[in-house]
Amino acid sequence: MTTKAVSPWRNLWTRFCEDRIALGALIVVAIILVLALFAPLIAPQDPYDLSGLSLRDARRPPGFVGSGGYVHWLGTDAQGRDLLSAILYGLRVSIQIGIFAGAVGLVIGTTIGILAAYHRGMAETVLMRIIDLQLSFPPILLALVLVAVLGQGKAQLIAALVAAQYAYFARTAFGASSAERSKDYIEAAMATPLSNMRIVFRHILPNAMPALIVVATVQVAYAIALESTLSFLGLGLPVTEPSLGMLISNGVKYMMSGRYWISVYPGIALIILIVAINLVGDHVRDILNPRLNR
Amino acid sequence: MSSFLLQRILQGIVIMAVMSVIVFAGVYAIGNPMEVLIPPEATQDVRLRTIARFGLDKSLVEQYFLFISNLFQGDLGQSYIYNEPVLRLIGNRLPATLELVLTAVLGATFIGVPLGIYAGYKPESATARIIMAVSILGFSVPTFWVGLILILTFAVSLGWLPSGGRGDTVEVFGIDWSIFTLDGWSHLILPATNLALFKLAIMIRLARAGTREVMLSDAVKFARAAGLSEATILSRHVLKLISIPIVTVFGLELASTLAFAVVTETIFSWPGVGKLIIDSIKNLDRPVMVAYLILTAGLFVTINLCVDIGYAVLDPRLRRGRAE
Amino acid sequence: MTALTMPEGEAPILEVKDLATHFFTRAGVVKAVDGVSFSLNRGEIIGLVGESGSGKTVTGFSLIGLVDPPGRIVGGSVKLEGQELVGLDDAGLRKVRGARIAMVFQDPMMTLNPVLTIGQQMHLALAAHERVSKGAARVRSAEALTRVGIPDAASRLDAYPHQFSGGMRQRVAIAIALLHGTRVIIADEPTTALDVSIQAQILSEMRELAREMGTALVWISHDLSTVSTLASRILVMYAGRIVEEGPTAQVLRAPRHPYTAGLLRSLPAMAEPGTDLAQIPGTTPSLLNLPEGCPFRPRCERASELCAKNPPMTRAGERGYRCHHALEEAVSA
Repeated sequence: MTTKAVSPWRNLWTRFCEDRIALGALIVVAIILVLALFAPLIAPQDPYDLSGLSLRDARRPPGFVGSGGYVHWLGTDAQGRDLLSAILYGLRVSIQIGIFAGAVGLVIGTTIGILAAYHRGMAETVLMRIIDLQLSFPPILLALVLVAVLGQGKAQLIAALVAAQYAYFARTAFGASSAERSKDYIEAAMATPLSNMRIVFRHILPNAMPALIVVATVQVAYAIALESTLSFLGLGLPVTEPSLGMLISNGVKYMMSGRYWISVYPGIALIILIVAINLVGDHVRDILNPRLNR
Repeated sequence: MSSFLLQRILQGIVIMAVMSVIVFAGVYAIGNPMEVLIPPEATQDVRLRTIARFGLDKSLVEQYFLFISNLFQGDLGQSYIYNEPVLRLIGNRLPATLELVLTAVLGATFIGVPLGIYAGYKPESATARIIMAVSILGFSVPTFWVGLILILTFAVSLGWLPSGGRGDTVEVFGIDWSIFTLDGWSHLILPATNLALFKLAIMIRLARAGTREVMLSDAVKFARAAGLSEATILSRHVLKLISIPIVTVFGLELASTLAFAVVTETIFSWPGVGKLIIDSIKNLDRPVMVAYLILTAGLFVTINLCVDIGYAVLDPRLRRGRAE
Repeated sequence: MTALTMPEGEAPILEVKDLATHFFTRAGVVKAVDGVSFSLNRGEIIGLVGESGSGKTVTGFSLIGLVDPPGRIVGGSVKLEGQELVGLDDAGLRKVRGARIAMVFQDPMMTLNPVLTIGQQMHLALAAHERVSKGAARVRSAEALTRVGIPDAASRLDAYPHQFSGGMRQRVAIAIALLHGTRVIIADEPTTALDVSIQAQILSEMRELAREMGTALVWISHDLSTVSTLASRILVMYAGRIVEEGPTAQVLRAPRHPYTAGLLRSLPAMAEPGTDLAQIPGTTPSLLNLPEGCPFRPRCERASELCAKNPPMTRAGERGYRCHHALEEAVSA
């Protein structure tokens, strides 16, 4: 089993590398992750340290040399923050939330999906009915209401994102594992004294994994976009930890007066991140689609 | 067919009932609207009277049943903030949202489906790659961001189009519409484009995936073997085959776009229900939130029902009766 | 059977020479069709027999220029009434397909478009080659359906494929193939997916139709016994090549290629009652990067070192075989 399990992943990797755009996107994602991870080391300024800010530096265009004595390559925002630093820290927040929400959604959704597929019968019907019902509801609305219900804050936001997204994982896990579940070898394994856990972890989960990974990448990107949208609407994170969405939102009122950079640069960072993740996910999906592989 | 429909309608009613409970319980768990409604310097007397006036002294269950019984009389309550019946409040703003959403989704479908068919028909071509790149962009770039860029480009920099508001409207059937005036269109076009972009991406992907699959089918091969031209195959065979999922998604997207309009309406100051709901969430205007959510759920159920009927019309296999 | 062949001097309606179709896959080149030659006379029925994976279906699709990527016709020639089809552009091929050469597929459940009525599909097929009014199309379609044995044809035009049984759908497909008085029909196992009783019906009807309309048939099948009731000549295909050909009766009575002999021994009708059915040992080889030499060698009891070299087609009269160690010709041919 283990030797068999290795080669599909290797095969996936080789085929992934054949597409230059996808490979480029993966490299971009990696670079952004590194930048976000080491933001405190790279950023010229700590944007959360209010004592380091000077209002004299506020709303300065890109290339301005501020009172700190260094160049603000992307300009400064309304509080006189270096925008580049704010973006790096904002990326950190956005990615954190995206990955966290994606991971929690993955675990919860997969558990539900596999439970439904494994037990069949009533459990399947009830669980999947709920999931389908939820899937027909727009996630943004769900997240909006939940944020309104739960209030603002990081944990609340993540909970809202998970609630808006877990159903996608559940559907995918259910589809993949119920196909696997009905194969003869699982039926045979279930007749032996192998524990249920063992069957799930050794047989069902590995087979559902590729599809789940595709959904996970797309959902992380979606969580990031959704978070920034909520923050933009003023329903996201508290102001103390500005994510990219909030940076954009803060700059909107200056946009009309031509000070575009406060909103535009964080937006570009956000888009590069989301597009790159989606390109990667998209390509993996194409590789994994057996109907297009001949 | 009729039993299928009946089952669907019953299902819809159950969903609505469940939704109403969830929404009501959920929304009433949010903060205390009294903090917004009653000025802090108000006397205890005023405070109590206000609470009684809005029925907030009753238990949650009582409030729910009151709400439901009023609902059946067409009364969804009064807005705390606007002091107006919620139904009138939403009703006044619904046409603006509807015309925005319909323009966006119809536009996205009529542009997206042909592009998607082409991309699925010639997946390796440069044009197809460009189409797919556009779709990935439309899929990835957050709506609010696109909206900002549209305003920045067409309103601020170029000054071609207004940056917000609804413009001149004309009354038709007692409702104000902006799609019947030129000024209305000039206001509509940016928000509609903004809203359409995401839908466009979905339509492209859907049509592309469907086309790619259908092109490999025996039915298409057989049509080719009969000498049909590629144009005929695409316009008659493929379009009809992929139209089933497209109609489904069209319906679902119509509903979800209504919800998504929240973002676009905020950016473009479009006076629709989306802006209303954001304001009511921020102001804890419970009756508006409950009414909006329940109306949206009702709309969802209705649209889903229409999609099911559309299915049966498009797919003869679902129609009654097998001859042999 | 040989009496059916046309008088001397008349050119064959379809002439295939050294046809080669390869699939350029990720894993390597698959030579699905590798130098197939045969000719088909007016009104003749030939059977193209082979196991699945032998390249017979790809041969069929190559004849009408419908090979899907990554496959491609890499060489050879297909001449239909003297016109070369290999290398013809799409527009040219389109004019030929359905009008002068048509194809019927294996699974009738899949070949018709489920969301168009039979009438619409037939109308489209008619309109592909001539201008017809809607009314005229209905009349012609009904005629065509009646011809293939569909009762009450006119009223069935508005039915959808799912309202027909498998056998009926295949009849519809055949009717579509015959719409333009097509001279050559390639039938790719059209009865395999059907019930046995319906198989026999369709077989005899096809034979009748071909005779009445003067249509020539290339009947592709994995089933030697089906083909033997229908075809005047048999081509046996193995690993992308024709390994034996000849008049049906002669091939059945005295196969020259060990593979044909093996196929025959595995037929229930041919076996001695009470004995086990013989099987050919091994499986069809993968056509991916096929090594030089006779591809049947690993499964052949007569194989020798000589077989490491590709056996050429040996011809004797109407018969031909590709084998270094051909079976002896039986008592009298």
